[in-house]
Amino acid sequence: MSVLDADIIVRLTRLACGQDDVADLTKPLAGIAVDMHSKYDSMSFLMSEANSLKALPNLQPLVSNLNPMSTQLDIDYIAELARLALKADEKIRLTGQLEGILDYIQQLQNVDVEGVEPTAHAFSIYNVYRADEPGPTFTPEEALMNAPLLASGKRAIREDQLVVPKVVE
Amino acid sequence: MSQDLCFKTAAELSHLLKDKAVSAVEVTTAFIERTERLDPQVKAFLNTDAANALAQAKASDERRANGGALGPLDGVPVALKDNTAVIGQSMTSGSKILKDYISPYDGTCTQKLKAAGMVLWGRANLDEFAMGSSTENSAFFPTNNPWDLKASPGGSSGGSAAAVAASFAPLAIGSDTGGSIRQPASFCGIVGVKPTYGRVSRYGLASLASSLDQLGPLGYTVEDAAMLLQVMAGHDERDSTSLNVAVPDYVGALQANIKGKRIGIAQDYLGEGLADNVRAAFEKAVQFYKAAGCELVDISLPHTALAVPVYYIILAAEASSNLARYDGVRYTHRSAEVSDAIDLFAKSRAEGFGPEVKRRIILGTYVLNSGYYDAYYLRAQKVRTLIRRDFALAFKQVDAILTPTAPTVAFKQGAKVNDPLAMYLNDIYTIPTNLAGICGVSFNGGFSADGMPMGLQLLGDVLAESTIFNLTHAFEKAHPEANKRPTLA
Repeated sequence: MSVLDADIIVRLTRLACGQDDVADLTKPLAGIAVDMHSKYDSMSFLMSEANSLKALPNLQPLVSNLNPMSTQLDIDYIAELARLALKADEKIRLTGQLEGILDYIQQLQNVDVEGVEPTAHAFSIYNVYRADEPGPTFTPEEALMNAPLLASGKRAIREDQLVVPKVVE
Repeated sequence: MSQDLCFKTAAELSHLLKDKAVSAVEVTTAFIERTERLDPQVKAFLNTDAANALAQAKASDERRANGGALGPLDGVPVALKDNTAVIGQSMTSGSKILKDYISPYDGTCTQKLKAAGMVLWGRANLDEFAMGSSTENSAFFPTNNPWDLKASPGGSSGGSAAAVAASFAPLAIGSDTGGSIRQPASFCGIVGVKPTYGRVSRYGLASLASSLDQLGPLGYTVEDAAMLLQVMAGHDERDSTSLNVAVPDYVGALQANIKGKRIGIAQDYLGEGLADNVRAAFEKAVQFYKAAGCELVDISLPHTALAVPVYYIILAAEASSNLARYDGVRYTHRSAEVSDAIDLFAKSRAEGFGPEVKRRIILGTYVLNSGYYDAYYLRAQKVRTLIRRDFALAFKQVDAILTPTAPTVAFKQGAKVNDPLAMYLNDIYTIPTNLAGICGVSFNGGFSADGMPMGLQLLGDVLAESTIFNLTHAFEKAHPEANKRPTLA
């Protein structure tokens, strides 16, 4: 079983029943995950098959709560803000890992920062202005030389401009 | 002869070239041949262009023949981390999203290397967008440690460090946001420098966390690193955070007497987690400095343990906004099937970024999310102030601070890659430097019982690079075994 699977299992188990009894529940689940992994290579399958898993001993509380979005960290909302189309198994994995990291950074809440100025840069920085005079710049060809490649093999360029999907109706 | 050239330091090559005992073409050919023979084992480079390097070397030889050498490093090869802009070359930043990107311009550091006549040779592997401490987050392949091919070379500048350690190039450029030059230098038994924030222009460096990023040199010796920083450093109007302060003569300062220098020792860097063998190497260096007439001073850096949580909030926040530019619109990978503009952004990014980059973008977006901003980002910036103050107070008492670079020798590949928090904690000794904006150098403090290098770190105050070069150069002169090179066949 890969470590990745173990991560997901622990995560799913925690979602269902908190931190307790993780080991007890992980054991039977591990066997299933290995089996699933070899057949379908995706935890999204495990979720879609939740109903058929309910028949297995010890797994009812887990399966009835099988919902990766039911935590404080609203991964769908954050992924939308970040403009990242995450897959279902990525969401489960990231939620578990981020909760661990967020637990760890909670320690900052105990630090006394009363009256302390925030540091945005190690040194004070100021706007820097140059003389308002034309200087060397990219030609249109240089600026567009890395334009995205389309399925046709051509670059997304038309008349020295980038081509994007229609934005307004 | 050609193999021998690969084992010379940059300073030695500089003398040989000056004396016309060798040509830049001979030197470059030696490094190309060695790389072609042995890099399939090490995998330090993502891209190489031998013909281009040889053309640069030929131009160097012609300059020298006409009496117009551009400086001491004219004709000396240098490898560049693949997140720096060189016109006409790749700049993948270790990411699939920039797989086909060709830079249309030279960054400022690149321009300076070219103006010094250096031969740009090889684009070094890195963790994707410099996020990582093992080079296993490269979207292309992991790099192997030349001292133990099953071990990690460290990261994120693992390719740069491995290229120098394996003698594929005498010098390399890396970038350091939380230890990404110093930790791989430590793991690979070489010297790596994180200059003071603003000492080297960031123009042409793919931004990770703009308030922490800094380009720096890697080489086999302190002298080599100092020679390269001499070329890289300086004010640049295209980087508004660049410091407008004259660059001192780093190489000239190497020989100064270190007697009477005050070196700080902070127990905050010597606690739980530090391996016994690295601790022993550290103690040995303390004894060396004592014997050399330095004054060892106990100092306190009480907010050190908070540096890692502060760093991961600030880094993730800055990275999530810096990486917004990779959206599939102007350059970078674009997803093939998209329904609208938002879908184009979200799918192109999801397909182009690897897991660690996604993790940090999500974390950064979360901590900047309205409602959490004060609790995470603003609070982290305030604790960052406390960490800066720790150093400001310490540098009133001492000239430099001696610490280990990393808690252990190079770990095996795969050992930490599935546990992001364990990977993050590996950087505990290097992260505070970037938060405070001060400078630091990692140098080889000796070898473990099984032959792995153990790096030590000397931290200096703002713009005190000459001081830390002087002190580490003295250690190196007294410990020639620290400059040993790995055997590859």
